[in-house]
Amino acid sequence: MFNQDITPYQNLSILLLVSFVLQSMLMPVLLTGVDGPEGWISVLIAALILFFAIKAVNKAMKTYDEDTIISVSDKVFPKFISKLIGIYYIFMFLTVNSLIMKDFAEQVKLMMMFRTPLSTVIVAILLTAAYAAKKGIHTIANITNIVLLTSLIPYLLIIIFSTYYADYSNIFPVYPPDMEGILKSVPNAALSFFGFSLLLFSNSRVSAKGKNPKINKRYLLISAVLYMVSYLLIIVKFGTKEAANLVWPFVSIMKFVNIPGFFFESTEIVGLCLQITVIFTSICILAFFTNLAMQETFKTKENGYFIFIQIPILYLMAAGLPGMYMMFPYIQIPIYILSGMNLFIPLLAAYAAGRKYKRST
Amino acid sequence: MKKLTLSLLIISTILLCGCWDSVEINKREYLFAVGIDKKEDKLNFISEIPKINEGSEEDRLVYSNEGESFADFYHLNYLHSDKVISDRLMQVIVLGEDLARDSEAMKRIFDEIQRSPQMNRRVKICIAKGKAEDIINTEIPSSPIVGRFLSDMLVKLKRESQQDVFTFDEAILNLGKTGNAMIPLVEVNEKSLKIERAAIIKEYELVGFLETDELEAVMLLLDPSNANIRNINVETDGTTISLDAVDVTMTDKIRLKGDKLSVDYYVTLYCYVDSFIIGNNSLEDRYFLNRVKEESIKKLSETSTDTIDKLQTQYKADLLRIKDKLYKYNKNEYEKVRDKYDEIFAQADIKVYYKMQIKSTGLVK
Repeated sequence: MFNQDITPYQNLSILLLVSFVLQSMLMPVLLTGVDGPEGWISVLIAALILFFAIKAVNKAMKTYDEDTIISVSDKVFPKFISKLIGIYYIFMFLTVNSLIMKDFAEQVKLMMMFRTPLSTVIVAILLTAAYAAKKGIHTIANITNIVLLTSLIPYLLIIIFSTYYADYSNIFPVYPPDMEGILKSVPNAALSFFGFSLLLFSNSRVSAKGKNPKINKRYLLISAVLYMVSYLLIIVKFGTKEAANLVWPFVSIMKFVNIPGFFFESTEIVGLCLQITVIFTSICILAFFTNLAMQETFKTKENGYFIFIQIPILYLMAAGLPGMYMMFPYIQIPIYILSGMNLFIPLLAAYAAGRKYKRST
Repeated sequence: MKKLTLSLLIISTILLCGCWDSVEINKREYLFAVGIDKKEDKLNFISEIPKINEGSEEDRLVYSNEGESFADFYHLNYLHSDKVISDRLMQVIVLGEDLARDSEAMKRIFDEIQRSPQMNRRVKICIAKGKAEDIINTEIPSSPIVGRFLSDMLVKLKRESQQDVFTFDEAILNLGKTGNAMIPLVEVNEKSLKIERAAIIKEYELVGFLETDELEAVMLLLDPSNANIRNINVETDGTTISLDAVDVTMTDKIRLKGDKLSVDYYVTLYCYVDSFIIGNNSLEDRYFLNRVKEESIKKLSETSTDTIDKLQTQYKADLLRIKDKLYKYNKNEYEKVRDKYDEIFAQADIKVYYKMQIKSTGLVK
């Protein structure tokens, strides 16, 4: 029922947008993880690891370019393992989507609609996102392309304008670095490149598949630069100590918007409005890929209904899960597990696919 | 299914209307300034609200409420007025001297402002000499809205580098980084207000004040490129000459060896002659100019030495942010003395070396 094809650049937009949302959500974990302003080194290490992983995965998956990670697993692993992999991705997408939704709903409630119940905000986002996701990846990809231009770029500009009266020497000291903190934060940074997990699904939907390796590398480069620049902007504005104290550094930084000639009663609301479109689109994208993962795991013909099945699950998870700020003390181990699995599964599948290909030739 | 989705969406647009709890602008009261004083165990909040809704930009209402926190203050205001109070346009917060001397109360106030999603961190902040209530109640004929007056003044002073801090954000960032901050000190000046001095805040407690010349000396070392030094008036050979420093450059050398901290500042001032006396041609004399320079440097050095001595011995407050520079550029050594930095700062050998060049005598010789 879905229009399956997207262009390579639409794929790039999807990967960038979802990664940016995860990066801004997990930024406090990175800011608290490293004692000093060297968190960007963790991002760099994570990007390098993922670069080699993407290279290996793209190379091994050449023969399976019509398949997602789940359908490849179906072909190279026993059924039991491929089902487990499918369930893992469904669970992960649902968890991440519900966390984004909860975090975002809390921001909206706290900054814009103080008296509106949280569940009302979640239901509103969920129903609208489900409706958009039901339209298929082609529609979502079009929305993403527009959002990237009309929201993400102005949103980033607002953050840059917000660093008025910033202390640029806050990027020091770089030496001696907190190596333990940097290495411990690599999994956090790696998980924030969520596009890496998405491309295992979205690459199979691209019309010109030959461009996937190049686009994937480009995604990693742009996303890493975005992540490092955002990190450094927060550091120069707040300094390491204050930055580590913030629950939503991106929202806090938007309180300083200073564009000469502009008057807003509450400057952060402008940024939040743009953020709404960015986050809303990424929720649609994640809902779509959860649907795809469900469809491939359970091997159903009619696929669109999984979007609706997600609604109560996502609602219950978003309502039940505590906000990100409550989870910070307990989040480290789940991040290690998710980050490790996200890297391990595609590499294992790539290895198995490569071996199978060698044996057949 | 389509019908079901559509009907759900239509119902949601009716039920989830984002403006259901909105308050119209004419039903709001916008706070422009809030003064906070300590009153026994409680806090006294004095709020200034311009009568914007009545079309007058110059009339204002001043309310006073007691409470334990900002939340209390808002709640009481809600009960005492037919309108809804809003702090979205708040320009300035004035903290009373007694309150500023109580570090616990200061920490609570700072935390509440920082935590609040509504209050903007860019709100300006100053300390009142005496009671904040007196500052808010001051009737300034030329500018009746105290919040606007103080806000404009603080922006101007910051722009001209006369004060280090002008917003709550800067104050809390400085306190977080070094434990110290200089917050503008506002005083009643007949039928107006003045901000000439700065309050020294150490670990969220007011410990003293910097006089105008001391503040200038500190600002010169903190931000030399924007430093705004008052005219240097010196008497040489029985005649007073006034110099204006139009450009300042500075380099510093910070060395930490074990527990021994030494800091050398090398300041070069490029000056213009502002005023001399008609009929005296001494400005053409190189030796005379050298004597003028010597006298000026002596005068500046005395102020700097006295100020630094005051910071080291009396207040033990590193307002020069040497600690921050050590952390950023000499982290290895700094980590070794982190816990006893205040003692090391008090014993530090801090020197300021001035050099002066007279670039121009003005439009006449």
